[in-house]
Amino acid sequence: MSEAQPPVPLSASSPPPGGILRATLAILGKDLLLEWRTRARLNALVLFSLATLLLFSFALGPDTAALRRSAGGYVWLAILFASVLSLGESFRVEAENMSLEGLRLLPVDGRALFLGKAIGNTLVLCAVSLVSLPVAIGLFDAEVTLDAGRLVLVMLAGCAGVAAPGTVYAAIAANAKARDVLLPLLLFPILIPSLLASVKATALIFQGDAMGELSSWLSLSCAFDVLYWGLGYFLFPRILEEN
Amino acid sequence: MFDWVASYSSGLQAALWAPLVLLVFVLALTLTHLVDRGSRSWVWKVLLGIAVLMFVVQAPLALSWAPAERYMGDTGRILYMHVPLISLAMALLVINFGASIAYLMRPSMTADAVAEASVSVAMMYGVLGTLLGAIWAKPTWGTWWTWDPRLTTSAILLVIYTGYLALRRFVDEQERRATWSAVVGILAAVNIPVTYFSVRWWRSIHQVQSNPSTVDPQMVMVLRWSYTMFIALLVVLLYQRTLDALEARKRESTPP
Amino acid sequence: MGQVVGGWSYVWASYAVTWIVVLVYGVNLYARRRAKSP
Repeated sequence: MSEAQPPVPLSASSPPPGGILRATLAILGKDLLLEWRTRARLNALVLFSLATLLLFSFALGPDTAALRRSAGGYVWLAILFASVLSLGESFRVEAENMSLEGLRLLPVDGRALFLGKAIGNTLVLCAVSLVSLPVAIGLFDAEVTLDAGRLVLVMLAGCAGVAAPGTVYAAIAANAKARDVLLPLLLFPILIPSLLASVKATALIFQGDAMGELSSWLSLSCAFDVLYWGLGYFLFPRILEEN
Repeated sequence: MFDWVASYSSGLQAALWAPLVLLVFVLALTLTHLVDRGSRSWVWKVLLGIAVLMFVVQAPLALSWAPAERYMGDTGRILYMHVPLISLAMALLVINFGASIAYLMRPSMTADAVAEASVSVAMMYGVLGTLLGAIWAKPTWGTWWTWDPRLTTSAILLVIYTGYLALRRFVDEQERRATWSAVVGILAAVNIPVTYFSVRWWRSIHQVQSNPSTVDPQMVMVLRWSYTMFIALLVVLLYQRTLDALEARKRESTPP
Repeated sequence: MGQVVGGWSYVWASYAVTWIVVLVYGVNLYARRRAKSP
């Protein structure tokens, strides 16, 4: 990197909406391609979540009724733990190769970077949940009593809820001291409303929704998503600013 | 020990309005402090004096003059401190939200210093208030803690802002620390209304906010007195903590 | 519903905790300001 050439600042004002979308898809495509080429990370994440689920079922003993009742919670805990690994990784790759600097030098809109990263993180978590659900159903003797479509919505809304603040905090933590501690410390408390909604909704799908509460938990999860994706979209460029 | 207070009861009844007068006085001093730079050397000392006097007077007022609550008995006296501490902690967090936005709109050492100071004092008020809540809960609810919506969201709020303070500790560069803290402060502030309205949104064993017209006037007076004294203390602590933060930043920027 | 009787030890405890925490925070802040400003 030549010092004489000043870095092109990530501008939030100039690119037209089409530009942001194209940039988002470019970043997303790059990340997904990298993930696919080195499937090791994705495999490791899936194995990690499976191991977590197994540990939960051992830790809680043979009381099948208790396991069945709390199955929703365990699934989301597994996704949460996997998220800390995957979120941390998504920016570590950048930091290690100094490619965050490289990205900053390109006229890439910070907001597109957020969208690209956050969507990528959402997809990774969805992949983790895709594998975790059947395993949880098997281990905890749960069953999907409501339709699969609503289950997909719940998982999608929940994973998106983890990914948005996760992307923001991962970018911060990747460049701060004690990064491995900082990410969960910042992220977990913020996620609790979304996590609560996801766990309750999943439990209702597993055990039946006699009082029709599913839609209100799903609304909470979606409201959380709208709020934090919106906040992330506008605030993320400030994280990347160079002084 | 405080039985002698009862003999002055009629005079004290007339003084029901005293807390509101004092509150207006405290707010006027605060406004003076904000507006007139020259006054800053003495206004905070006056406020500190008022706060100390009010603390000393509050004890007999709350412990003897105020009647025992109908259901809680004398344990209700703890609430005269628990309630203001928690509300003011949340007010301080709202100040942090404002300072964070202010910093992002126009970066300044002052905005960042206020952001840091407000969370520091908020954590002290908040942890103390929560502690008092637990001490109150043991004799009245029978348990130190329960995971109902109000308590859960409050605990989350305390953890969130502990993370905020941790972030500040883990970033060394001043502007980067200020910018990132501002972003985290804004994201965290979403949980303030969630905590405040949690008793209304979810069924909770915690009381909903009371309407003063339904409460015994003597209790209202002691509560207002307590609020005023904690507000006076808040202004003093926030001011001094902000100065402390500002000095730390100036020392950081000046080359050794 | 009956009235909770007594509980004065909790009341005294809460007053003690409050005064102590406020004093500790205040004194700590005061000491820091004394040390820094000339």
